[in-house]
Amino acid sequence: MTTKLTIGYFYKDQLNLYGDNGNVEILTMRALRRNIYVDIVHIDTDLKINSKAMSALDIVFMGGGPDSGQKEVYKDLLKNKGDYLNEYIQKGGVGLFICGAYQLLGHYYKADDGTFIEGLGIYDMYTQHFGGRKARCVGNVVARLNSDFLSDPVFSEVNFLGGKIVGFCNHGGRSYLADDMAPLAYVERGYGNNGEDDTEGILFKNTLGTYFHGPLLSRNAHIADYLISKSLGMDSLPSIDNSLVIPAYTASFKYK
Amino acid sequence: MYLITTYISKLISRISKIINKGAGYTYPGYIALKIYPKIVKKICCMLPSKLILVTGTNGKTTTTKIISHILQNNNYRVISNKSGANLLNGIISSLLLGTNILGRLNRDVAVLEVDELFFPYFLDLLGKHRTSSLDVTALLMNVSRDQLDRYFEPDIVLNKWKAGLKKFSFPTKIVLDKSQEYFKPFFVDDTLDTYGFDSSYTALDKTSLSGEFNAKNLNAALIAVELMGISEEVSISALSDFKLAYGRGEEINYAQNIYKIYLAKNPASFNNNLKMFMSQKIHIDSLLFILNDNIPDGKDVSWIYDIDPVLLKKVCHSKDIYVSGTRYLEMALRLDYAGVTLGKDNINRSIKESLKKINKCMKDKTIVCYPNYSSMLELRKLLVGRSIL
Repeated sequence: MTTKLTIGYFYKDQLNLYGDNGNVEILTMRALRRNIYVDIVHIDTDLKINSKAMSALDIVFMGGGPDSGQKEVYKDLLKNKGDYLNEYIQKGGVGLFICGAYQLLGHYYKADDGTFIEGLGIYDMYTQHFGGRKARCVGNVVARLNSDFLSDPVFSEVNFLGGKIVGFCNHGGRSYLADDMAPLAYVERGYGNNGEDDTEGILFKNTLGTYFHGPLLSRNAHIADYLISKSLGMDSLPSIDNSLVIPAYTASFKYK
Repeated sequence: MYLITTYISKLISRISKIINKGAGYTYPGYIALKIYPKIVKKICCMLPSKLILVTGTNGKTTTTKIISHILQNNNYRVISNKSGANLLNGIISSLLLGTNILGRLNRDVAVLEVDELFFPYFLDLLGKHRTSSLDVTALLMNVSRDQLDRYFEPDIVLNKWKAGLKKFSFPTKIVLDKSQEYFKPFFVDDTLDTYGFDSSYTALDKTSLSGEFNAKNLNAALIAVELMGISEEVSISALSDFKLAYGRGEEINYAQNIYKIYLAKNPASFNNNLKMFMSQKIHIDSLLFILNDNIPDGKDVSWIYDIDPVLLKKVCHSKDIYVSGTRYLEMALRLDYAGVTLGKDNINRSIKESLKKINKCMKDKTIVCYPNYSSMLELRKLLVGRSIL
């Protein structure tokens, strides 16, 4: 029997600011190379969803967007899709949410001029933009994965790279996690959620939120393999050629 | 002091050419600003009364070159900033180097390409310092994602342009791409004097240029010169001997191979180049991708995943692929994820080593090169023995 990976890709056309679609491309290629068939379900503003449709998904992905793109999807997400997405995540569905999408799943986003954008409140986190009072968080980042994540046997099994993630962030809003929320990683170099408390992203049930934008998975293939393995409930993954992935990951630690 | 500054600028430019540090189009301006800060006001005042500004993510250099070429062939004395030096330093350099021994510019029209983020500031500077009349034509070519770590989001750039133009005090004709939804707010604003261009091939087919993006560059340029009274027919005939700028389809013969250079510095320019390549069926034997992350390129190379993977795979099909530059590993990985087959020996951080390898393996072949900005300068320097900036 062939294995199939179904990826729910939210708002591809509106939310793809920094090559975020690369993540879906990478998940697809890494699955196909293991003879896992991939089905991508495009979840756009004109597509209606329900609990059943959501439960057919193995991974949900949503990227970051420019302000205009986020405004467009924001209403649809809150009104038509939020409840189903919440249900999917609370039940332990696997997800990857980047930058603007990561923000929208928190309680709110408060702009410097006082504009208040309500989020889905799926996890206990809020975002605030301090305008000119605090610098935009831009640059390469190196972060150490949360020990809970490292000790997940699914991750230990597929982890061929190491205990760190590398990426690039570029965000104006700063996010703050509640005390009982677990970050995805702890920053060693660069900005993370806010440049203040060393946290980066969130690890909420089986959902990952992060400010590492764009093709996060290109440099962090161990996260890609984790998402595939976790979502399909596989004990292990067949090995594939990683001869370009490993040096690209290693080189990332030196980028200034 | 002003006259001394012009002499020093010319001397610096001469020295940088002699010591092979580039053609000296930015450093003189940098020094001029240091030793004589009032040069900014002076520059704003010395510009001829007709000013054409070209800004946008892609097409600035080519469009600027087309306009200058048409005007020069119609006996206008033109000053322009060469080689894409489009920040304040570069603009000051070009203007100072264009002055005569008395420090006068004596030109009829200035055609300047202006960096998209610097553009609103440049308008501010002109508004503040210019004392005599000024007739401006501003070409807003396009806005797309480019160097996001520096430019942030396209929306922010568009808002800054609009705000800058709205408070600009000199009469300004604004030429923009009418097919772009994001320019709509400019067209519907009654306080702005707008002219739209499209991607029609009618004019393009009468020139040596090709590709949709060059159709837009050309059509925008034709409007700009038409606003000065030069008909399309006259413009087209003026372009009969036109050559593209550095790294825009330029061909260089090197070590018995032909290198064709197409600057590919952001998703739009990369995909445009790939599309043009597919539509024209140019014969090529090999492709060299070069990705750097130096300051002029932006530190964030995420955008390479916005290159259309299907196009990428098609263009690379059954060709020898080489990858180089400071971020060669990520470019190689991007190609790999697009399904392109790569030879382990064909990827090398050093551009010099990559060229050595290519020339060792191939003779009388055509190699298409897709460098981003700083790697284009580096590649050209290796191929022609001298740098351009």
